Amino acid sequence: MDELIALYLTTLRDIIAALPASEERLKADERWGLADERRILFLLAQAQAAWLTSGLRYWRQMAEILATQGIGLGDAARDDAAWEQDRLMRHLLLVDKARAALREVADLSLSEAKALRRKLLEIEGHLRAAEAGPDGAEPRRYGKVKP
Amino acid sequence: MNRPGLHPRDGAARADWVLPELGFQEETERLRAAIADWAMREADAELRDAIDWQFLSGSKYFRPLTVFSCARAMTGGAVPEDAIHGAMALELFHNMTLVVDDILDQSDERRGKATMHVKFGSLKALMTSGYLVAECYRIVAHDPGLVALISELMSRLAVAECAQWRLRAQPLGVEDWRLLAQEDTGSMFEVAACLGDRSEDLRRFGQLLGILYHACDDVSDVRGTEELGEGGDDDIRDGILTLPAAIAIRRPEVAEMFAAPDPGNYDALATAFRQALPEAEQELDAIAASAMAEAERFARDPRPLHDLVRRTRALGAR
Repeated sequence: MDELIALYLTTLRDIIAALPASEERLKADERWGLADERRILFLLAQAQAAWLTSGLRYWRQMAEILATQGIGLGDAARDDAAWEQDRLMRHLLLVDKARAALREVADLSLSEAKALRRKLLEIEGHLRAAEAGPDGAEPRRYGKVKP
Repeated sequence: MNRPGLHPRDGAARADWVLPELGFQEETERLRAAIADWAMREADAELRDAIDWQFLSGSKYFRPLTVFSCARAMTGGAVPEDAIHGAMALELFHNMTLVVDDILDQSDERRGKATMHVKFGSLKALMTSGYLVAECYRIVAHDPGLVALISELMSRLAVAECAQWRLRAQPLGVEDWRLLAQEDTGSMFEVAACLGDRSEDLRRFGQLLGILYHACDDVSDVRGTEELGEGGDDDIRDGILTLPAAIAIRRPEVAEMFAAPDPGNYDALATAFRQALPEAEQELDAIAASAMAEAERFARDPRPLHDLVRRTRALGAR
């Protein structure tokens, strides 16, 4: 599973790395007036790659957490004769491991969401800039005037 | 009250291997020069002897190195002057905590020489510690963001120190230890990361690094009792919740001794803590892995941060 994810991530990275090459084509298209549309599609492709990568990274790290914390939880919860002697110790271990697992998952979720948000806002910023006219004019505002 | 970085044996002996491996010699020299310049030109003559005593020898600059590493990881190039400035303010603040801790712990030595209160008396040491905080704020006064960071640090440290003392000798778990470590040591490394990268993207990295640093110190203290037949005794006597202690006191008989430490059971407690070392080591590895992943997630060039984590982790392996 890990190898599969690693392979997929590598492929994605290669695709992302190759994307700037299409910038060359954008220049060629400028004279046909197609550059803006292509640029927007290019940015959307980047966004898609960003959330796909983020999702895969998230689940891979989640799997790591489950592997490490889950083993601890399993050990703590197992019901055999040796543990029967130390019910209190087992209880404390279980609580500790469960708290650790929840904290790890919460921290990971927050971090990954923050990283993805930053990346997507970066792309959104480029899109906003693409609203400007070809001569660099201010983007036109179509919104309703404030009452 | 012993904290990572505050123990006497934690000083000059480690500086010689931390600094060269992480690089930043030029930045460290700039920092040293800035501190020396401040001490000579700006610090009040009344306190200069105490300030010189505290600053002009022995620091391993681990917190400034964190600032520099975070700055480089995010810019991918030279460490900006702002980061040197922030590192200087943090170093002043950190030294205030050392002076206060030495007074509270009644420590006679730090970095291989007499502590400030032993050399100059408690009054002068306390007043100098206040002066350092005031100077720290003066140095960052031009930037409200920096003032907010230093204020946050001051508040969190004050609360953490009191909480750690209130919770001594209580049978708490590893997650409770982690919260204390996060506030006690993690907070300063969080601020160090934010001083290096003002976007706050590396805040959690800094926190994890601080927890790792705290944990490694806990582990090396226990290992010290094993190898040297001393060290870590203060924590046992005071019932401080270290990482090995938090693991060991899951056993009811150890928890009982931990709750009522007396010289008769120090050896038994030390033995129980040593037995907890393998699990503590696993915890160190997990914290280091989280810090690495966090660096990977946010840094433009995570290598300086990876180096920092590796060197910090090595503290617990020596």
